Amino acid sequence: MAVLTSVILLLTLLGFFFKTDAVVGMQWILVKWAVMIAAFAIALGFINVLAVHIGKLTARKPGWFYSLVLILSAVVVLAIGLGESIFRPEEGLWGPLLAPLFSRIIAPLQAATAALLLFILTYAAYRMLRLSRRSGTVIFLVSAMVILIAQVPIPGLGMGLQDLRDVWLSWLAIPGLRALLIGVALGIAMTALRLLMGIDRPHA
Amino acid sequence: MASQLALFLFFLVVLLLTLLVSRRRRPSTLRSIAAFETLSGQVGRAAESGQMLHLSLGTGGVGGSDTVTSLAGLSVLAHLAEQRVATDTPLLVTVSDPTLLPLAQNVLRQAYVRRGRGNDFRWTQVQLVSPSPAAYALGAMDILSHEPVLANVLFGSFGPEVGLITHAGATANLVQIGGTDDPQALSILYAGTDRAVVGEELYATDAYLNPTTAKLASLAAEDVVRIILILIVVIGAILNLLGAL
Repeated sequence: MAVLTSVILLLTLLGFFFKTDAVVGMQWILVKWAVMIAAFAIALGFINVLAVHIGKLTARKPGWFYSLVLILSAVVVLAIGLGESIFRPEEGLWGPLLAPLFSRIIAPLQAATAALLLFILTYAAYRMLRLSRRSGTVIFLVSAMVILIAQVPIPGLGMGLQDLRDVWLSWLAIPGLRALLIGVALGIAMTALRLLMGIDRPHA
Repeated sequence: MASQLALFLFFLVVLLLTLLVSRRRRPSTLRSIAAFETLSGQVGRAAESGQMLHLSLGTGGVGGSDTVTSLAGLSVLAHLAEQRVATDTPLLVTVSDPTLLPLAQNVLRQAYVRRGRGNDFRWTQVQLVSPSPAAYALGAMDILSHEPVLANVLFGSFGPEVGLITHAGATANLVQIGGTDDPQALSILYAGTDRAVVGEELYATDAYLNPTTAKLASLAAEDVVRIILILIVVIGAILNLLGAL
């Protein structure tokens, strides 16, 4: 499997560097295979979700009622999606029944979850201040306070705080972020090479 | 395109040279990373208490820009899977992207097969919660709140929604360890977990948890490239100051 991964990785990579018809053609074939495999993975994922929640339902585990709601929702949405793709194929995922499910149920629920995140992050910062004994905690919290307070228009202090925020951002935060991103890029490049050479095989 | 090919070849040459040198020298030692040490300790605690470890592989998958980050998460799974089978530590793995599901199931199944316990493996030990990041976070919160979990391990690609998961873990008083590549999610992990893996440390996961000479050499190669980059940045800055650029 490691050899197969290395060969496919190399063939895909060659397609980026050498734009000859043979190499690009091979790259496209591999990409198409990947798309087909991903489609099967989605079907497997759907079966996995059903298997997990049917298991919870039959064992009457805590929260089994929500599993029942999930199973019914999944089956109903699948039936609607299949029905619309058969009878209204030109509308894709935006048929008259499926589109409102996304725009009126899923989108508002996701927006509500995102709004909840603000309060949870504030609480996480408070908990960190109370419990954490790490040296970086003070730097982390001072940075957050400088950026937050500088957003507030305080008469007399406003410009000074904004200057401090600008200096903090341009001299400390942004260089730090760039260093982090360069490190991440290096890590990704070296991990990709390890996969290419079969040194790392977490998937096999 | 030529510059990208040159960069690729430069990385490859540095890695090959470091591999050659490392075979003649003593294996290098790694600096300690608290997150990995805490992780190893939690496996033993979970085995003793009978409570499970929850491993979240994040919202990324395989095939996109977060492939390598997701594979770093799989390295943690490979390590925990071996421990799980050897010590009977209960382990629950959750994923968000369907493409990661069969890979994670295969890694766990292989650990069972290697110990001759293939029949004990259950496909539902790896659960796909939801492909939507927000719904995934809510599903993981539910697991942390209702299942007997001892530690919450988060390795993979995450967005700001990771704050919801760490909140549920903190509310349940779980030991939490995490690592991701996204700076925004990383700052949330830093605030919300006991131990966080920062930046490129995430990609050294496999070398730390399953060290081999080749993996250690690749970390040394990364350091060589980093030193070269630092020199380029410093020389560029000095030349810029002198007005030469």
